Amino acid sequence: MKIATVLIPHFLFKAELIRQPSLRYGDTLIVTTLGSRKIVSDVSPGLMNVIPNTTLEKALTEVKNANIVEADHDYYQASFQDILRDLEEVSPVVEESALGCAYVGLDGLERLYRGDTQTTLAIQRAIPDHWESRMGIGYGKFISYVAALSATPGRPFKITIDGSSFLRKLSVDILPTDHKVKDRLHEFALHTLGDVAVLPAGPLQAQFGFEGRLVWELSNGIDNRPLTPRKYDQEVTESLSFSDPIVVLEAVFVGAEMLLERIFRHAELKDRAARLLVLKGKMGQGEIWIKRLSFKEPSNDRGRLMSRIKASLQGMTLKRPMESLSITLSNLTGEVSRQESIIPYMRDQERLQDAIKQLDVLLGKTAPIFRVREVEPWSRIPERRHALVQFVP
Amino acid sequence: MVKNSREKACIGAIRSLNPLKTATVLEGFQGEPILVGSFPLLRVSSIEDKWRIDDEWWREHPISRVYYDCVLENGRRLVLVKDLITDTWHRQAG
Repeated sequence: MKIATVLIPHFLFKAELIRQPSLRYGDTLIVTTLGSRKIVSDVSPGLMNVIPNTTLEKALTEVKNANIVEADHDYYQASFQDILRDLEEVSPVVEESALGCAYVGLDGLERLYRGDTQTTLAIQRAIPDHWESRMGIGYGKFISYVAALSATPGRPFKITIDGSSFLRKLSVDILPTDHKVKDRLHEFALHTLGDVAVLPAGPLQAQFGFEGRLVWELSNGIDNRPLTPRKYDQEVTESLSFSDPIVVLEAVFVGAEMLLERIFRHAELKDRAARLLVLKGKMGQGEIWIKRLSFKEPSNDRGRLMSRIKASLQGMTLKRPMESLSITLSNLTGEVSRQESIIPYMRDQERLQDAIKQLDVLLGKTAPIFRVREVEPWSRIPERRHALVQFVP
Repeated sequence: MVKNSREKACIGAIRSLNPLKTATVLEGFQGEPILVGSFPLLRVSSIEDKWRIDDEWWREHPISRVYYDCVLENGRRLVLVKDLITDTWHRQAG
């Protein structure tokens, strides 16, 4: 399958640059707080000696006088989702790999865009220039990703027929596998993909299992992994701009009421309810403010949604004047009413399922909820007796 | 680096319960635990029970451990495990 990889290096930094243009001057560290530790999530392009995912303390020994910016992951996710939506206007098959990296399926698009060149241009035009994206094209995800690494902004790189010869001198560190596998490959003096490609597949598979087979195939330019389009989550958005930027919360409430009134006129919301409401405000100097509200029970009641917005924003003050406001309703359901079971145990199960679904929506991924299962209760080895298994309602 | 884009299979979402956790232990002359922890160090008041497991000798990584069911000076109960193969100490609940 012919695939284009769109790669935006230093995505977090570039996202921050949009709302803080002054970061262009000097070095910047984007930092995420995990408990008591601060981890560097991204750096400005000029900082070559700081590796992301190191601690802030270690990074500060390598660089002096850096701007330290607290990461805003909701904003980065929202920005990347906007890019993915724009890519989906070009191709229906878009897979999100990581923040700043997406695969776009190209098969069948030549007829739509009248040639490869026009298809490539369409993808480039979908992404604003300020992201300085790179595009690589190849047969398979891995080849196209490697091509993207070699590309420059505005000049896509295409690897045509024999990808394996191109890969030969590249380090095994670029393989999409666990770092432990890569460390083991280096221990075995297999430093490049060429070193791995000359070996037979059997020993690699015996040593590393499934990953070993994948490593061998990718090193030989074989990539049969399917492109998995991201799940389309229908959502409805309405937005408005304030003629004069607002500074008081009451004006936000008025704007939100108007938006809710407009949003419920959409045909997509007829007889449907939403589990998630996202308020997004564009503030002065390009800053974006986002508030996510999830509902345990899906709602299509305007009054209830408005009460929830007011309750969650109560006491908040606007740090900067707000220029525009939008509301997005997503995770739409077909439920208009609910029939509960009369059996108490079943009712409890249904409530548990609802609570887990709400957690999934809140976290944006499968909630880490596990149940204890007996595995070998008779085992003399205590850690073999029970296991935590993902709870599936 | 490109993340492996395959979805995790449900069966892969299994975690061990009650795994061994590394512990800092000072041993006595006969190999029994005397002091536990890093800061503060706690003295082992009594060893309530002791047992040994030797298992899976046919595998590449056999298991040979001595378990000590201890009561610490603060009244807390703790199971300390000495791995006889790696000569390291661990703690485990229950």
